[in-house]
Amino acid sequence: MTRTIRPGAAIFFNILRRLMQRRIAILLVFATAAHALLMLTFDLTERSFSEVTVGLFLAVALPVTGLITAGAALGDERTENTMPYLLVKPIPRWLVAVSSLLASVATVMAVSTLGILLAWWLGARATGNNGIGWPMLVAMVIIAVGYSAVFVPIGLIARRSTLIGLAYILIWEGIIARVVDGVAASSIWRIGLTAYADLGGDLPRDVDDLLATLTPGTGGAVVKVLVLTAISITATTWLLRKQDMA
Amino acid sequence: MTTPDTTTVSVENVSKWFGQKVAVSEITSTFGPGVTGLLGPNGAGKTTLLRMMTGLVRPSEGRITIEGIDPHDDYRALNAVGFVAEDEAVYKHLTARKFVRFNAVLAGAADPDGDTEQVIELVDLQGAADRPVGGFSKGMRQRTKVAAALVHRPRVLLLDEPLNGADPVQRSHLIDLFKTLGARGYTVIVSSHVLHEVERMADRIIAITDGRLAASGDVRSLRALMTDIPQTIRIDADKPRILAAALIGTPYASGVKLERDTIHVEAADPAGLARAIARLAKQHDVIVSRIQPEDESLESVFSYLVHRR
Repeated sequence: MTRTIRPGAAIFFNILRRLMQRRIAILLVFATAAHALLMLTFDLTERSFSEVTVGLFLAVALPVTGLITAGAALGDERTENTMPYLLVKPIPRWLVAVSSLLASVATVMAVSTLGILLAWWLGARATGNNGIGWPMLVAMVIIAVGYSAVFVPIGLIARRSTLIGLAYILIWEGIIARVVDGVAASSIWRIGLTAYADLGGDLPRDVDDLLATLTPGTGGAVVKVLVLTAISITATTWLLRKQDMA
Repeated sequence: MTTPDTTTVSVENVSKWFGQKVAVSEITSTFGPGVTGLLGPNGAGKTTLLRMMTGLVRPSEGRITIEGIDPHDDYRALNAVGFVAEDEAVYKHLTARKFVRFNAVLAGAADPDGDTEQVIELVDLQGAADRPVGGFSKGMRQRTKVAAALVHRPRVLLLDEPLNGADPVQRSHLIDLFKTLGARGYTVIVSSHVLHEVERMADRIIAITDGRLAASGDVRSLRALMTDIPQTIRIDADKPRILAAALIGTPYASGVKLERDTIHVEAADPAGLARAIARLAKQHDVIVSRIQPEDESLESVFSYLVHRR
């Protein structure tokens, strides 16, 4: 067991540290705090709290943070030629896949902490509801895991994973998922939103429209990202075994 | 070749192609304790061959085993392997000590802290161990990478151009280190495109060019092959026309070209030509100020070895 935990932890902390030390991490901290900063500019109600949290944080800032971070988790190892330090070692490839996925999730959560805490504090102070931040926190974890699961393996095979991710968010999730029935189920931030709606009660109508055909439900959202995570680990492990690291 | 009992790395009819490009073609060899030099010009296929030994690149055909285990199928084969890649890539945010320790933990070293200190001392990095690797010179990075490759005491050490960027003192230190490890029973496979470097450290040389095995043997036998290579010799003399005319009549020169005071001779038999120059210069009262091979590049040596196969 130690033969797995110690190397796994070493890989996790190394990738986490590298991701957190990138210059873009600072930008992402501000991007994920933008909704909280916006909340400072008007009188906050539960309705406006939801609108800003969903419209700016869960549907925009968090997905972008997730795809940029996850794409770099193993993508940077490949482009910076440091992959041999992970792969020419007597450790199973799945351990590298799991550790990098966890590091990506942890990084997304870490850079989002300021925005989450500030928004929660502002929302609780304005509405008197100290539990106002829970749905946002749960949705954030689900979305962070979901985007990490999709973009860690994509970052391994595509040098322009950020562009691919932006196209996915803007075109697939932003346009196609709203107009084509059934496609919303493949939209990661909408999966997180189903948990938000489930835990947060009724959403304002314009925010509710974002769910498209999806129905609120935390359990379903958790199951979906767990399935996505299992597929991701399998795919990343396969890629690490089969791809030439020339 | 090593005997079956001592073989640690086995390469059986291995080929690798990337799309239309053939990087390695039908190489078969075995490696055992001692230092083996993998010699070849840039682009010869050395890096691809070493990466196939590490499991980073999968052979298109053939099989590679480390201590009987295929590293592509079973990661436990890598227990025995330490690898230094050709490029300068390191985790720039880590100090040398943390970098080596990171590798120790991943490789399953019994005592990561103790082992780290030992190899840092071995490569003479104590004074810089707590500085970030990102600020190191190329030579210091190479030493850090060597330390990281050695930290779990691998039985097989695969080194891809490990002396790149090292200054003469560092080179000498690393060469001595590799020789010592080879003498202690490690299988050290070290690639280089610099002949004299390989000669200094290797007991055996495998020459590769265009992805193919051009020659293999101990340093002495490969040297003997190379003395047969037709060479272009430059001769500076006070009476070049007289000497050039005399050389044309010998069987040792296949072509003679005169350029001001310099004679360029295509030598069919370099050793015979050397004797003939001395004899003819004395006979015609010519003073020879310089005799120098013009074409000593490794590429020409390899080209010759390939064409004579």
